[in-house]
Amino acid sequence: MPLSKWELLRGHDASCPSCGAENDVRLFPAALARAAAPQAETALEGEAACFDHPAKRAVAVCRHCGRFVCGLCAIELGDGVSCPTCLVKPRSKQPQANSAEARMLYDTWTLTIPFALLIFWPLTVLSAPAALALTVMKWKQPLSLVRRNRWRFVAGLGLSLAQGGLWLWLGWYLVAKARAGA
Amino acid sequence: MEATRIRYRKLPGRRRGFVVGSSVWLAEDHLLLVKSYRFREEYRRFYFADIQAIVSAAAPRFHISTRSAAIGAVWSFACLLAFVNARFTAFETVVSVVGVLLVVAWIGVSLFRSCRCRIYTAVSSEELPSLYRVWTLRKFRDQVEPLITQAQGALEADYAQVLEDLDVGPLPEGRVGLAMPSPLAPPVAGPPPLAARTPISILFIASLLLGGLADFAALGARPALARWVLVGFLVLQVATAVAVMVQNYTGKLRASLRNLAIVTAVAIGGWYYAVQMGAGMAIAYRNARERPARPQFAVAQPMAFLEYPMARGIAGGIGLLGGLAGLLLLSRGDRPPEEKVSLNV
Repeated sequence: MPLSKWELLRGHDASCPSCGAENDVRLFPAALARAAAPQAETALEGEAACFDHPAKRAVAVCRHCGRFVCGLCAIELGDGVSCPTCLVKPRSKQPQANSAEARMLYDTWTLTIPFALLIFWPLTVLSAPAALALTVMKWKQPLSLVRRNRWRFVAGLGLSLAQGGLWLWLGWYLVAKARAGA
Repeated sequence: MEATRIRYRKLPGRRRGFVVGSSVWLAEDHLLLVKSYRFREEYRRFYFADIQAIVSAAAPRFHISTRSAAIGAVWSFACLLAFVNARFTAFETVVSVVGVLLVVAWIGVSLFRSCRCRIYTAVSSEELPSLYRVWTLRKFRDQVEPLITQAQGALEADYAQVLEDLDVGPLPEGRVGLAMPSPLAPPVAGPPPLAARTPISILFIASLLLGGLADFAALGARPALARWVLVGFLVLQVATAVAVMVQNYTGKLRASLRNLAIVTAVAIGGWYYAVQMGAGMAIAYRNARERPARPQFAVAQPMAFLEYPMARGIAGGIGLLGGLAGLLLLSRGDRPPEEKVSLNV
């Protein structure tokens, strides 16, 4: 919803005329800029035209597919101009560093699985190899945008290795005991 | 490998929930809102050049962070120690007083020093959940406002005139480019205000207050009587708390009372768990020290915790504090339901 006039016109401290709630409004010049509708000029004969709108003059080239785009289709991103098709279509399987909208945190998974299942410790016989496999498979996956190291991966790896080692030792001990008894 | 990774710096404020978390990070030319769902993160970017307004409003926020839960856990552990060795009466008193003071401080801060903050661009208006305390919001604005001003310049002195025929923020239903209704058009009737005083909410608050008072009054009474007073009011409190949540879900009751119901239910659950643990440990300790011929078993004593006046006193304190907070909320009257999307809380 847009901001109401009572919020905008009374400076920082704005009281709602109907309910009396106090709002603190910090307004910036972008609020005053009218939303300029994208303009697309008609292409004259001999001029380059937009791929999707042949009657409109091309003003830019899509950095991904190289198609000409008009003022309506040119979408400026931080790294250049894209056409609407390329904007919604992933160009490669390589994750984009700066445009991710969501990420799965595999490092948190690999730490949480072996740690949480300590409560039901017999299940660690399954969770330890699962966490190990997850660590190996997802080690190169991008982390959170705001985290800078892989300590969760390392800690999860250490914990799963320890659990796996304990299970191996237990198995070896039981086998040895059975053989000694026989 | 990721190419040209942006370096982010964390801004003041972080919401640490058990499942959902949130924080805001600063890059060279934008803010990054991170919503964390434990195993997944979602990101929203707000470029300095696009930010139209930052709006905040005072609002009660009863958020139990993982940090405050950890403090509660430490306090519960101290209570357990007090149960196990009843000789430390001074320690027991200090623990109780500190616990009550912490709860009072949390309720006070949640009611009077909390806020909501929303950021507006031309196409979005997004709440920043990490900014829910007034002092954090102030620090956040101190850091961010100069950067936005640097990117956009200062606001003109006569901006009020320009705003007369301009709308700030996204248009209704996210439809960019549609004309707004004329200011001269008759106002559209909004939804009816959400109630604070329904029979269920009044019964809930009354059960908290009366239960708290009855628990304190029954501290010196016979254990059989005190037990039934405590259990009766506990059942009533939990049942009405659930009813309050249902009424809020069906859109009949304000969110603040639902929050109070959640807090009360969690507090009662935490109290029950901690006291059961304490009672079990006390019984085990007594068995070990006195070595009776027929030792007691904690599992065979499901109501053993009711023997301890301190347990009943804490339950009374929870009830009284919740009841007082509820009275405050009831006194604020009915509010329009738009508080969910706007900041008019």
